[in-house]
Amino acid sequence: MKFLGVSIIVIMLLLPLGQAALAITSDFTVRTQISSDGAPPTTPATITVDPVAPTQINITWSASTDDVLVSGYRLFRDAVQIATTTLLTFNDTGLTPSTTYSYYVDAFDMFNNYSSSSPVVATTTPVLPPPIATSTSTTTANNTSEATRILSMQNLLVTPKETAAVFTWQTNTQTQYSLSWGRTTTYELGTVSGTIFNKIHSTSIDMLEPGTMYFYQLTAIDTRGVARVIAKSTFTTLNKIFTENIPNVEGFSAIANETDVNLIWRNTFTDLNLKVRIVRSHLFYPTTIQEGAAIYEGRGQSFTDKEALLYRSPQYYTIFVIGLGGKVSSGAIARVYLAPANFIGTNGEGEIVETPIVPDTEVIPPTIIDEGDPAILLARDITIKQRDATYTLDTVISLDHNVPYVIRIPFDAVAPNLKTITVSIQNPSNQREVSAYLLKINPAGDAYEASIAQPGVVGSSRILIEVFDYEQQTVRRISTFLEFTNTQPPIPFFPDQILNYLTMIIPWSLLILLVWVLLIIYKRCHSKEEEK
Amino acid sequence: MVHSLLSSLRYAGIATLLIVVILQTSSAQVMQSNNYKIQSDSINTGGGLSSSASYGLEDTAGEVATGEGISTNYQLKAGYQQMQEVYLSLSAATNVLLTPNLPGITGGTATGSTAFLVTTDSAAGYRVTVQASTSPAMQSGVGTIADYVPVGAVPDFIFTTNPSNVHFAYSPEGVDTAVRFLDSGGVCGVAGSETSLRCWDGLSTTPREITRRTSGNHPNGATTTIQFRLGIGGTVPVIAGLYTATTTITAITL
Repeated sequence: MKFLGVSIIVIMLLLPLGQAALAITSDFTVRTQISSDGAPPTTPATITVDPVAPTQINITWSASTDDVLVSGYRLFRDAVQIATTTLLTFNDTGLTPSTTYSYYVDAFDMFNNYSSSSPVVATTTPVLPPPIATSTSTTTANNTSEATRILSMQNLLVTPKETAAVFTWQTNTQTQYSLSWGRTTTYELGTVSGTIFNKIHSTSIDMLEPGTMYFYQLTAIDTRGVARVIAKSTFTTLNKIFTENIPNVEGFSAIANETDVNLIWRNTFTDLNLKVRIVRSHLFYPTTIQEGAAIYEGRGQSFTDKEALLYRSPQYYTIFVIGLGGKVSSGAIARVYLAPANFIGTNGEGEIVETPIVPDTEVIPPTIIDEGDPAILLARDITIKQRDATYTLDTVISLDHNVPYVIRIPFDAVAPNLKTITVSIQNPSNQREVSAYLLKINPAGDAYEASIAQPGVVGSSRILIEVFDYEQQTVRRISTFLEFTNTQPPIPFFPDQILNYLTMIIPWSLLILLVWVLLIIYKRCHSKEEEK
Repeated sequence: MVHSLLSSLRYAGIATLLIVVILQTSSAQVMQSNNYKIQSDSINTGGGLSSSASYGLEDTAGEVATGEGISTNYQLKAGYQQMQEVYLSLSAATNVLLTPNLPGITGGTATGSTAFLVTTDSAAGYRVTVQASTSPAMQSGVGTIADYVPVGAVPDFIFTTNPSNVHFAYSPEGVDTAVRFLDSGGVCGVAGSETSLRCWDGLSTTPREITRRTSGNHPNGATTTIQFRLGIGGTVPVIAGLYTATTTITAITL
């Protein structure tokens, strides 16, 4: 009976309260427009053209700067885009002799903000020379033709890799080349030709066997079609070193200080058996710890490469994390240019000539950036693996910010003649810091991989995969966003939720009154039992 | 003796409560059939001034001249039961566009506000809650902006955006601002003054009380302004796009 009475009181208290409350709602929206990186790169200040052959013009321009990262340059010939490149030079071939061409270039950043275009420069290709009867075959140094007598070669450098070899050399005049190689002096394995007239040459041959000696023959062809063998020799490829999933360092950057280069990075390892090695080359990103010049080895996080830019610019650096048993990370990379002494940015008043192509509206970049020849690589073939989950790069990807991840491209998914695959990733807590890494063949030999350390903070990062094909001077660029999140859900605070719910339906004052009534009734019942 | 007195008091308390409840449930009776509805009624007769040498009493047994009178300046509800019908009004809050547009890279702070007017003749007053339709509140097709998270259990006195922060906050202002958003000149969540642009919190899909008043305010009502702020620290990129937070305010009589 006592409990029945209590229940009746409680019900009678609650009933009228529920009927009395009125509620009205009103909806509204709060909106905001977030724009992209609003600052385009600075305009390439200078551009020069050199008609090196009746069918070729070489173009060079000055570097741009950006508040985040200059991703590349677009080159236009007669107002038509002919190339996208990260380099500062381009050799335009297949032209018509005795014809005038005009060129200009602009720069773009990771968010596809384009600079205004450089000044327009024009030049005329030379007249096609008459054919020379003695120019067809000059395979020995004793040839007596005028063409072969003046053709010479300097600074030949052959850099063997595990499965490839890189050749660089210079000629005293504009030349094309033909490079043949094989296990014997018949050079039976293949020939690669350079159809671009140049004085500075670089090429490579791939699909070689590690630890194997090869014969090669290099032939130069000048602008009149005169050919001459300029080198015959051998090279031996490096023994195979597997790339293990050792995470790379973070935030590796190279900053020019006059001719010195300041290198900084963050070690992501605590294992005392691990250390880093920095390798430098003025030709390409070293892809193994033996390539180029080893300039640092240890456990530090900064190093100054003295006078590295005194004679060579740019310089390419790769930093590897080395473990026990010859295990190495894929390598993080950085490139640095010697800043020209007369460099003037776009803020220099009156120094930059406004040129025809100036974007008059802001370009909001797409989430997914897919540029270049799809035949080189498809976005869907690039995967990111974290724990047991695998994502493809043709969408926005959400990752746990506290777990390392591996970027992977199947070996068969990329064209065989590529030279370098890099991945650039913004630091989610400092998007002005971009770390770049090499993707290298994994131990199984079935994919290019790079293991990236976890950022440790939540946020968004743009990831950019770039494929450099130096022979064709084209770049494949695929980019999307990585969302680093905390996948651990917050623990709900139940007492707070229950209290919120109760206070929504019962005012505080009556809630206290209800508790008081129940307390009195309880005490009353308790005292009755004691009296009994 | 004392125990007996306390027991009597307790019974008296329970009895009082029962009477109050019975009165609550029996007053303001609504009579209705299929054809009509009488919200409340009264008998308009009796009453007057009585006096003697020891006392004076003015009582009313009925009422005359009842009804509602409205002008541009006032609203009068005359009569015993004119106020039985609780009045609550909430003006629609206008949509907000935060300005300026922020670049996702270099960041900055965008602000905006909306206001609403609550009028009620409920003697117990009213409360207003705010909630978002999604979590986090601010979203675009592919991106989200985190809800502001105060350092402690109460709102932050000052809206603070660290370099790595990207977040969206609100702060109510008005004469009836809930204690959670009042401050003592440096700390929020304490009964004190209502300082403009202070005490910032993040929206949630759970209703959060932003306004509370324990008396009626008819006919003038009370205006509450909700300030909104978006902070981008500048070191975390934000995907470009139009972000929207659909927000609901609910006014409830007490």
